[in-house]
Amino acid sequence: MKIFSVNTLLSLGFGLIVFVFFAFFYRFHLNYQEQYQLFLFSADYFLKFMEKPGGFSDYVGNFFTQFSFYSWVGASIIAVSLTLLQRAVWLISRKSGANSLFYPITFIPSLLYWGLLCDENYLFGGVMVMLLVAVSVCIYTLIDSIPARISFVVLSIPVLYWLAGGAFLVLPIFAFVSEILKRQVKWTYLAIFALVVAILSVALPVISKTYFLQYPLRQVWIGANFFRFPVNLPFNVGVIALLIIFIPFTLRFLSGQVKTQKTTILLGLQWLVLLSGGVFFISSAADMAKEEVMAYDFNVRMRKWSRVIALADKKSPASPLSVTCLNLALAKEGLLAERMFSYYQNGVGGLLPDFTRDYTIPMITGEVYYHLGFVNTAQRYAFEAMEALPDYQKSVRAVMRLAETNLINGNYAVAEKYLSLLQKTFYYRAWANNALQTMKDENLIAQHPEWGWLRQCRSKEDFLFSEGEKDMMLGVLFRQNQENRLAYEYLMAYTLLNKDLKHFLQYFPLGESLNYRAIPKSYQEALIYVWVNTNNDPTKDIPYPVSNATKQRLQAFQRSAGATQPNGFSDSYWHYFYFRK
Amino acid sequence: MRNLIFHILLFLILWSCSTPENVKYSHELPPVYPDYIDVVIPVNIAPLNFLLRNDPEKMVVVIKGTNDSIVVAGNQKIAIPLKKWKALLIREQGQSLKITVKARLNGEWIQYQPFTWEVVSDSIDPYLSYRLIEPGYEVWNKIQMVERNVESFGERVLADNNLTDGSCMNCHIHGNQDAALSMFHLRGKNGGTILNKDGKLRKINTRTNGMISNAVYGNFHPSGRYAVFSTNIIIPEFHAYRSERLEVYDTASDLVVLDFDQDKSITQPFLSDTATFESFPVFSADGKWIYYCAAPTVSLPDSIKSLKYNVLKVGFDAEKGTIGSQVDTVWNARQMNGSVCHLKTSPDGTFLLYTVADYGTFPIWHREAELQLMNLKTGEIDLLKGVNGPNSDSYHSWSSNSCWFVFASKRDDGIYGKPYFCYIDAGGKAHKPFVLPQSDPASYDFMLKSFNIPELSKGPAPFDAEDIERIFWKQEAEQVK
Repeated sequence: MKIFSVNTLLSLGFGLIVFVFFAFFYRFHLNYQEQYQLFLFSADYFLKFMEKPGGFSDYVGNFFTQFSFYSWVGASIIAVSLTLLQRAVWLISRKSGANSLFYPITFIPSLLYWGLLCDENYLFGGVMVMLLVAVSVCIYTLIDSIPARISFVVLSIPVLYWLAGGAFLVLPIFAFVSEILKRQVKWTYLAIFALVVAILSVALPVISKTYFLQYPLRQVWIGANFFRFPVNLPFNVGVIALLIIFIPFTLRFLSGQVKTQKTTILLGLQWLVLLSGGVFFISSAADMAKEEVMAYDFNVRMRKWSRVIALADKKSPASPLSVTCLNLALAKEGLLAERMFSYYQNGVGGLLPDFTRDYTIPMITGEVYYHLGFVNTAQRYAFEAMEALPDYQKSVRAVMRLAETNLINGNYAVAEKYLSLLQKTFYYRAWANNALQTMKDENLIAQHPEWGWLRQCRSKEDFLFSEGEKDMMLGVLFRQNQENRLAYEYLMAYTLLNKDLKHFLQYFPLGESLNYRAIPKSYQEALIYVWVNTNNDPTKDIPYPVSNATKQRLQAFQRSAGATQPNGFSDSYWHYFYFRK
Repeated sequence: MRNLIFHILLFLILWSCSTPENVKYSHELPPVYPDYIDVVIPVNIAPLNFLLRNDPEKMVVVIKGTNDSIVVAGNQKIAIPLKKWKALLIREQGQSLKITVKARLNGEWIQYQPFTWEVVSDSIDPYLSYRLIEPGYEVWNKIQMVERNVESFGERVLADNNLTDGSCMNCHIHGNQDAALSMFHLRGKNGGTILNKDGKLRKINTRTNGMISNAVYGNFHPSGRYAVFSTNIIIPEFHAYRSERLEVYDTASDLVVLDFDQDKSITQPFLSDTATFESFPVFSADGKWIYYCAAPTVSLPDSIKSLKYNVLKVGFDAEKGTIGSQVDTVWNARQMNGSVCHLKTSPDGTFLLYTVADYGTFPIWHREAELQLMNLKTGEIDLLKGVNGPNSDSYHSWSSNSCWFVFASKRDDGIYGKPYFCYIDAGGKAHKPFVLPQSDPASYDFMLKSFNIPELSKGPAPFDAEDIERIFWKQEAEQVK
């Protein structure tokens, strides 16, 4: 018994490949998407989306995006959606008279949207728009009765406009071309149909803008948020939408031209072009450098410090943000002073990046400030990152951080506000319930391994945050809690990365309270380097317990200093000091 | 069959509305939110819908006056019918309403101690405009200028930065609380000060040569011809300590009067020197004086805690369009050990309402910031102890009859500001304030916006967001000379 046709199996195969790509090779992009929205199971949230054209698609898109918390679930959803889109295009094509010989061509819209989804700024609501439009065209093609078909199109226009936004145009355009080709409707009726459709298509957005919506006309036309930046016109999506019209009619035409004896060659050729083109297109669309940063960031967010270090061990991070994540992970594992120069360092920017008015960098930098004990700064960065989101969404990650910082600061009323929002989410409800319980008891907060500790690390005196004086702020923070090893190591790392050995020497003794068993490697290297270059009395030995191995290694480094990049010292502070600009 | 279903439904409805039995009496007041316990309300206010914080299974509220009463049932919250409410307030003006709350908790009905709503015949101006904005730091997202009818729950958007290229917009203020006279600043490339005069909108570039910035904090002259502004170079800084949040200060600030009829600026050298910071100017009710805040310049941000603003006044001649040269001190910051901002004179000329913080010029993030009321005739200062909350209270505006004022208070959580109304009786006594009623009282819990700069007016503003969109994109700004 034949359960699946070859074509169905090919569609399933396509879905499987999409799933594998997003679940295993591009999964952190999905986690990234998930953090920049706050999907709430509440009537208010739903109604807010339904207030504008295309809002329904955005809502459904957000609904599915929330499941990308687990990337394999998100990957499954994308795979199923793109497969359904392909099947819908095929159904439309078949009903329009296409030969199954051209089945590979029907993969093109899904393949192109797959490429778009490789860009982290394309939102999943766009796929929902495509599906809604494609399904409505499918329904049109399935209706035999002419009056029913025409009525369906006319009645669907306002509904589709409200559900999917400006992409609704695909249905009337398809219907119009289809009716011309079918020649079942008189030209007069066709002209009336075209006129009605044109009037509706123009009037709907204009009426909506005039009476219901406070959005620029362009946004009222486009409707759904295909792209995170609403000011950008989603031309690429428009092309894909037009393909839903173009492909069926083209295939209908080609089907009439094809000669039966050459079908195998033609089919093979199509698959060859589709596969090679697909591989080329997706590999060009995928940004693996960003995937790397997102991997670092996600693991930092999840506090999987050893995984961050493992990522760096596998491939040294190249981007400043990855370095920021790595340095935090090293510090959290107590390895910053020991191993930081074993990896690429890009100066103090990789330790504590400067504030920027966007939604990515402050989110990552805020993690560093949070774990250091700069609770207020972490709060500000979370707030600013969320405010910088160009599509006006809230960020679940930022809201969680705001709940935490307010809880640590004892602002329970505000913390409760954020937690009550998180209680309306799917994945974060349990966390919010737990936090609310903890908040009721000061002892529970004090005993909490993170919140209790950060409460102790907070500054006990007020000072104004100064971007240009991070070392001063770290010094103040450490002085107030001399068990805050992270603050000390960041302070020392700051001076080392800044090649500011004067202050390194000045701050070094502060670490006495941390009871290191031995001076960490990078500190030893800096100490012996300073000693060798400043001590004029050869009878005197360095007043710090620097190992003989380090002393000998410095001598070896100095002997090979003539070389452009001496081999074997890339993990040393000296190498950073001399060769990193 | 249909009849049977109808009767079952009717029975269920009547049963659910039936009077609670076996009620236990509590000596405590009900845990209502918002805090509407024993407040004075104007005869024209919207229903004071509230919820109970102890999550009852059911609640029944009896609002009883001397002549009439309303019974409202709900689960955790109640929605008082608007028509019945309005009729009740009109009948009961000058009287007290007694509110009795019964709640079913764990299957048991409890009746709480009743509380009162005193209905006064002094109306409040029916329209309230405010800016809805996330209480952020430097980055802003969506900003809307909204106008709310306080007699109902009607709300409409006056301006939306979604339509104006994401520009910041601020400080919508009325002259004489008149809907036909108002202005606000729209920042950005196509921005300007939007002046609404009798419904005609103008876009004005207020910055002239020699001015340090565009107009910032301002106030209309009673004639509507002039407005006085401060010009400020504003710097934000961020606190590291606990719940301290944001410090905003000026590195330079001056005063200027703009003549909207002749599009020219008027100033005095001493109002634009570098030795003093001047800010938050307002005209007196008769238009003969300009009250403003002023502080000797200090090194900033190092000496921010010693930056303390006095209240000064200087004469203004509207006929000649000149500012006087004699400056008097109205409130001495050194003696009072505080710093004043946001001056607002009452329309009847009796009071000066202002905010006092420990230091600085941006009290909305100062938890200690409190309102004070000075009687300009006697010089007496009311510290408004029963009005101020535990967090910042600021950005106030008078009702045209001087019986009410609205202010933004962060008393609930320290971050999200909400508009509170306060009644000043004929004896000058300020009463416990109450928050702007919402159709759904739980909406404040989930709202992530602050109500910024609430301003009362006698009527609806004669423009909407589309007008602002048009003027932003299509109208050239008029240049002040």
